[in-house]
Amino acid sequence: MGVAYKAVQWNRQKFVYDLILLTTVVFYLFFFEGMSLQLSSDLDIKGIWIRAFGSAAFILLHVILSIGPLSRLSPKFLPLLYNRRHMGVTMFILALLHARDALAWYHDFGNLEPIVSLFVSNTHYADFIRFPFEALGGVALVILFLMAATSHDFWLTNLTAPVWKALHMGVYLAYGLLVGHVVLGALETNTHPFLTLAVGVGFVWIVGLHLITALREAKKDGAPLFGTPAQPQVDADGYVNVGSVHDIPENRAKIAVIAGERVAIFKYDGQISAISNVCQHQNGPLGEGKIVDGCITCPWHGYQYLPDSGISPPPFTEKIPTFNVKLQGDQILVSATPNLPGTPVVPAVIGQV
Amino acid sequence: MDSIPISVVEWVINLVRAYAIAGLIFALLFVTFLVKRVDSGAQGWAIGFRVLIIPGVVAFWPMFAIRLLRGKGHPTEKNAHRIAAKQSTGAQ
Repeated sequence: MGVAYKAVQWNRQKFVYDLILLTTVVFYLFFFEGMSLQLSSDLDIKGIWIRAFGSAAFILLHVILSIGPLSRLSPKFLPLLYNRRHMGVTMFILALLHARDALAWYHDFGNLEPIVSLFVSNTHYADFIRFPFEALGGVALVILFLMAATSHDFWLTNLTAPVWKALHMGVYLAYGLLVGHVVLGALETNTHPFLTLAVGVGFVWIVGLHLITALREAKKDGAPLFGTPAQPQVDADGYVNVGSVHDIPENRAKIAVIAGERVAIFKYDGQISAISNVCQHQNGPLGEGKIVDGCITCPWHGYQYLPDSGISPPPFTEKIPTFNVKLQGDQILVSATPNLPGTPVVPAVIGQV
Repeated sequence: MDSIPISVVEWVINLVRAYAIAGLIFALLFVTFLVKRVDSGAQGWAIGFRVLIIPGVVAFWPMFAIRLLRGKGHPTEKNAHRIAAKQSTGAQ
């Protein structure tokens, strides 16, 4: 980082984002309560709030899981990605409130501790229909806790972005467990078809959206969705031809896969520079960003790097690998071997051979 | 109710509790005195930041304990480009 950590690096966008998020959640919770009482006046208020918290968390999880692929499909969704971590923490808090109230409501009346009762009151672990759905929710809650607890940038630095991302991919396992939790719990006791339909549509949406995005990304890289991607053609000098300078708009990049990872080749001020596409902050796609104030700017959270050295401007200290570049006519040749992070590279000047 | 599953669940929950209590004690010491040793970004007192990382430190306290014992700071990420760059220069 290079700058001191704060609890939250507040700015106007984050403030507006959180305001909209919290207002929507509070509105949903009270709307749910009002509608439930309207539809059935004999429902207990505690039972209604258990469902309100649970359904709010489940809906918010669908929104969170949709933001990543939607941002890959269109940059219009990037503002939603910007502060997604606050959405994740909000979702965890809703899930925790659901679990706390459900535990008190269903498991606080015997001689066992409620948490022990949760895991032993139904032991049909080998039976699909009677499977203890509460345990699925409990495991999902642990995953969501680990994600919420490690949402600060401190954790990106201390776990490193690849490990942090792998940990946060646990959200897909949590989603699977929660679909099971809802299907074997709420859907088994609820006879109204709307809930079943809504869960089904949500599942198809999430799976479909991820498949479409994965296919598009694989097509961009010229790689098969499954199996080993084709290796780029390296010339005798150890360079890869990535195409013409005319393919790249000013202050933007072209992305090519070299040395097993994406490389961002930027055109700016009549020059070409190439750096690793992987932002050191959250591994965002630098090549989908643009050059702002002379710096490559990550489209996810605005982290910046100098195009000819891969170093963040002071006081920041991030460094990413750079690549030697040269031009043959209008063709861009990028070295197949990356330089160490932060290595200065002379940009190739367009029109100068 | 069968007492064996109850005993097993109680044992596991007590184990998690013991881990969490040890983690909480470590976390309080870590955020108060030790966090600067592993991450220079933890400058000044920044109470909000220190409180915010406590739950995560409770979960991952052995990682920081080992790091402190070995006198090491935070690691640098590894990806295909960083590994290839290191190999090409023969850097350790």
